[in-house]
Amino acid sequence: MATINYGYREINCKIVYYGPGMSGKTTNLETIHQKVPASNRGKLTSLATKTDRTLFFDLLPLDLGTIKGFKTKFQLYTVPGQVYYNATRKLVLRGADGVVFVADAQNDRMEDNVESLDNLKENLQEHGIDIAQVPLVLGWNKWDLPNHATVDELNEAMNPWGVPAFEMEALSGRGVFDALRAVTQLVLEKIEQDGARP
Amino acid sequence: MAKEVGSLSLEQTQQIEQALKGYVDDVGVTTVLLVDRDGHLVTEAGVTDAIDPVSFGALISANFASTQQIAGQMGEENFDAFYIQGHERDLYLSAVQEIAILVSIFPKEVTLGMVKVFAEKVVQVLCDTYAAAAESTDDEGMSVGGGFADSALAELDKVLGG
Repeated sequence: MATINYGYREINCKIVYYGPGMSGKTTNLETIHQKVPASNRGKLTSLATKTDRTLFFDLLPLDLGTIKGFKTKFQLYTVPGQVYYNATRKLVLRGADGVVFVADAQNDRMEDNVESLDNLKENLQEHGIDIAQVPLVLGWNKWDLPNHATVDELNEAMNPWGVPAFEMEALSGRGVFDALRAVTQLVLEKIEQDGARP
Repeated sequence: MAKEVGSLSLEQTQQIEQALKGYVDDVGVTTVLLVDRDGHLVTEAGVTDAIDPVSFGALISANFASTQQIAGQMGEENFDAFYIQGHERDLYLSAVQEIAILVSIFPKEVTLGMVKVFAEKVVQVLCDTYAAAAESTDDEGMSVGGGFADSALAELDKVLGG
């Protein structure tokens, strides 16, 4: 749940980039970091192994400034995709307001994607959250590679909820902002709904 | 709407700021941060120029969370506090129930025992304040107001160059 500090008039939201290993989660954050003006973003912090695989998380803070009297900030996190870092994924997922699931659209990664999505469901469940209730968008990354599955195949395998899904090329930036904007919209709508007087 | 845990009024934030400032002044700790369990900085006191409080808060929260997992594997329900020794400055982290983490950074001249005693007192003040906040039925100002999502999204579009 977003932290809304009414005393300080500050809203902090946490968006987590989830997906299998090497699907492009960190590249999403690197691309956002490159393209967003320095005045609106903080330092990109990465806890990675010597071979640049995410060990704990990457973090990119985004600052939208003051909206209707509230300083509005987002923290974008990635989780480590490798299967054996599940305890870490669970920790990073704590308090998530929205999730961008970055799938590797190549045909031979379909099984890994589905396994990772099932893992997301389980880990959300452990935090008492039903995946159908969480703001979620999907990115079909590596769309520039020739052996990617079709949109229908990907939706069939991973999108029973009909949530927004985007063709994505994280390196060039295609689809990266679309996914970020879509998940942000869902998160903001939820905040407005939950954080407004009945 | 149900008030979320950790939502504080202006008066409550001032109580917390006062407690942290008193802690810095009385004990001589260099920096005190209050970070929620999700890694967001709630407030700070003392010298904060040398650190990036946003990434620092996230790292502290992650560190604390992983330490609690270690506690679980040791058969402990959780750790209430832990200490990290540096060359020139040390770090002491205290749990504020399940809500937040009190971070104390202090120089070698200040003893760990002193920090532990006073941090415990500050934690008690923080727990009382959060308890009062949770029990309060006064929701004056506890609303983001209509049109917030649209305004924030328009701002995001500007940031993303849309």
